[in-house]
Amino acid sequence: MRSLFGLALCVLLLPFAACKKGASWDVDAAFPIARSHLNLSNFFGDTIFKPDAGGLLHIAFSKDIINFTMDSLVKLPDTTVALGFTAPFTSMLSPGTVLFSNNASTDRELTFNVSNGVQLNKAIVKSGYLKVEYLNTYGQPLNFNYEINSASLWGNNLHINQTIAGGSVSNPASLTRFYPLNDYVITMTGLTNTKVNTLVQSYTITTDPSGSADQLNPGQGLSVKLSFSKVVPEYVQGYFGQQDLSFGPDSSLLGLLDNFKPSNFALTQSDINFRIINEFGIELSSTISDIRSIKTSPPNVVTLNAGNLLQTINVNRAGKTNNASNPVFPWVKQIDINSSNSNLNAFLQNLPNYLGYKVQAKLNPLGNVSAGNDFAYYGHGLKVVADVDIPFEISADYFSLVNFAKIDLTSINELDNVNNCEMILQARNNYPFRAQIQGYMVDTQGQVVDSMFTWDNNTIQAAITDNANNVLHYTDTRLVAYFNQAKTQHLKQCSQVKFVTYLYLPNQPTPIRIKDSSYLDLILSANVNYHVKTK
Amino acid sequence: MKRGLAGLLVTLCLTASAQYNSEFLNFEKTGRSISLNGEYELGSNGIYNAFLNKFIVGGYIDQSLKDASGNHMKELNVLGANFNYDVAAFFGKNPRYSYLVGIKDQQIFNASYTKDFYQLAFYGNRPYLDETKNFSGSSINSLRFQELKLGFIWHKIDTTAKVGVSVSFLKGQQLFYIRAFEGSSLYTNADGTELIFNSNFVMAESDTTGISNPLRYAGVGASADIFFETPYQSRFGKSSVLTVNANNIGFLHWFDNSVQYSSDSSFHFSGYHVDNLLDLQDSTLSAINQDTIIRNTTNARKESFNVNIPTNLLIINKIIFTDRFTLSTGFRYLFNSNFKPYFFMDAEYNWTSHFSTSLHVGYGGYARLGVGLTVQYNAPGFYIKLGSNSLQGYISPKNTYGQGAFVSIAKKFRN
Repeated sequence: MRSLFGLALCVLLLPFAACKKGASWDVDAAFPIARSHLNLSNFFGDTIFKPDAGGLLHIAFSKDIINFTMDSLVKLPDTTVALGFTAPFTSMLSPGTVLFSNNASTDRELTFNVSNGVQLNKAIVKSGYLKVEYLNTYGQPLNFNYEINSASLWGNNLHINQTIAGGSVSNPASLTRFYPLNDYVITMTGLTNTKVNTLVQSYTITTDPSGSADQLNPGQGLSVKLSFSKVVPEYVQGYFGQQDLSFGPDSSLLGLLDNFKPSNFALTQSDINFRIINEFGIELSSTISDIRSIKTSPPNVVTLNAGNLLQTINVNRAGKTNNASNPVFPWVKQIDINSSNSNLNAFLQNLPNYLGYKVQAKLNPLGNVSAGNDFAYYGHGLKVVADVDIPFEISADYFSLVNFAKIDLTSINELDNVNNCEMILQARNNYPFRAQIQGYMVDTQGQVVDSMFTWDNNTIQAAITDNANNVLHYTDTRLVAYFNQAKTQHLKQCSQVKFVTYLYLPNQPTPIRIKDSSYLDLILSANVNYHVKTK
Repeated sequence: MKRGLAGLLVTLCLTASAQYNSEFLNFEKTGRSISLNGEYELGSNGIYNAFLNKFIVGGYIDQSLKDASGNHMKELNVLGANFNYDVAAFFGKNPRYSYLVGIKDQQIFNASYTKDFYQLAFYGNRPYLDETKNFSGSSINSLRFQELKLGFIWHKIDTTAKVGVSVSFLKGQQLFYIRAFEGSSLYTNADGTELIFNSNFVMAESDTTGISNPLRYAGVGASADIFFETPYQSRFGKSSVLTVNANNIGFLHWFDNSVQYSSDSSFHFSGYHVDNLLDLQDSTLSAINQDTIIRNTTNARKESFNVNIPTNLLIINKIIFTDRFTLSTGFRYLFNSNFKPYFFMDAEYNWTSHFSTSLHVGYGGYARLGVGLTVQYNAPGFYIKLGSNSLQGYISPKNTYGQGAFVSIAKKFRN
């Protein structure tokens, strides 16, 4: 009976137990993958293209050559001073007795050692603090009453009134306090208003009224250490001296069209507008020299020859706007270097990776003509900017572009079920150049494992042009990339695709003009023979 | 092979009652007993058995298999499968009635599909460029539940009539339901660069957490079975018996974690728009995400809901011509499903007092023509029945629709 039950179960369940093997079949699927309306910036991965009024595209970008701000020009050093009183003889003190006052002493003035010969008469503090360390060796509590007479905030001087507990010579009572200096306006002209870099302070030391009468022995008293730390000014004023500033020789990374490799490349025209922007309240005389177009691969350097245009440039001082949010009205000097007054075309045809430069400036070349009213604001300074403008009217045999697209297909298991596949690229080209493209599948080790297109079917035809290379009509092209199972497996090893594109220009050396209305429409679709499996 | 077919023809004259998912039907043979019953049936009126067998035993569905079914397919077709097994016991001491207790696992699958859907599923859309493929009327209803059954059979109403009733507590394990309404279609343009999917469908799915665990509760419900059998005198034969059986009259309530989807929209897909050629990974591939697509294209919501389970109605008229030969005609229908009315005839021949065989011929249901054979051995202590109502599916799978098998084994109790 038991075996009969078993037999019956086997008969009944056999078909379902076998279900786990799964059915499979092949289907032919056709589906779109992606489409794109591309302009030139999609090719180069940059947003440096701007059209002019006539629709001609320009490569237009700005590059900061130097940006010299106030914190580099004027530094308020950390400054520490010691104050206090030590009893020279024994005396009996009752609570509330004045022990010492600096009214008549020589430490009423505190002078900062400001570098570069800068003579400040006023400063507004952006951030920083006053650190005060107390040591009381007297047996009763002492009161320290301190004021910086030349530092005020909303009309109130910086004032400290601190009681320090009693101690002894062998075991002094210590206390450390921090006081923020943010937003304080500091007059730095000393007691007579004729000095520079000098502030005024006053203090008294008294026995605290809460203490008891006690004897003050020689050597006892209060010592105070004041430290002005990490003071960053928001505004400084004074005479900044006849400093000589020098920047470079140095170079600045351009990162421009790094993937762009032309053959017989020639520009029709070009322009670099150097802007010297002075946001300091100082006159200066400046020279920009050694402007070099530096290409690293293959190495080549072209030096800009612009005559005396960039030599001994007098730059006037900035003005104040009395607007706290935008306090400076800069003085801007512009020098236009173009293909007519320099070798700029050759300079830019070098396709530099780096821009080399040297900038020299002399502050206050005529001395203290402002009578101590040089000024500088935090975040503002001296800038030299190069505004590059290259109309996209160029000639070349071809350009080559190399782009890497991260397409990590290593985890797409569905690729295992692809029997074969056609990737179809439909292109509508409105550019005057034809594009020969190839995609290389690159594995995680950076090795090329296969290519996508065959060499006889990888060219997007150029738009139809006239003899002057003006586009008359777009052209449609259909490219097909075939993937058999082996190639599909290579696709599965692919972590990125290296696209190498050659753009061939027609009727050379007649320049082509790339307009804002130019486009390349791409539609990528797939015909896939797929092996469907059920679980 | 010829001998096998001859034997099959001989047994065509023989009859037995098939399982039909009812415990009461065998009571005439087994009386009070404990039994193990199992049954599966699988069929389609559009897809041949050889094709369906690939989903059962595995294998590659080649072009000829696809063409064979596709070339004879109607515009709208059905596909269904039932698989159930149970342990049931009739017991008691009263000579007029017996009690029934049993547990059963049921899987019910039925689907409708358009010829267009079949073509897309098995050929793909590329052979049908610039065509609109219609899904309207396509549906899938897949249900799995377990039941605890309690009932009784009143087997001495007068002299020979029987009435059986049972009620069941149902534990829902899994539900998947989708139905495409008028207007559901997929259009592929002439060069495969545009797809237009008109979606007008509803979909429901029970909580998928731990879906393979038979002990999990994704829903609860109740059902009832009714059985009636009475002898009567007719112009034919010695006597006649009319049997009416209805089972799975009930519903399942699926809990709050169940999900319902609905969509009545038109989606036009012409490829992902790439703005940055250098960063395809972010702009393109990440957008091709199944969850994102479903979330964006359907109105998904979690909520509880009720579904009626397919109710099985069976009517059999049995004419007993001699002590050895009985001829039955019958009708079967599954409500709440796409099962077509099924008409059948069973011819049973008792070779001995214990051993009988029967031949089954029917038309309708999920498949079309069904021819079957049943073998029964009814000993004093036990009963065994083994058979199929769709033997054609095993004999000539390339040319026939439908297959199935059933088995009952019972240990009789001493009265």
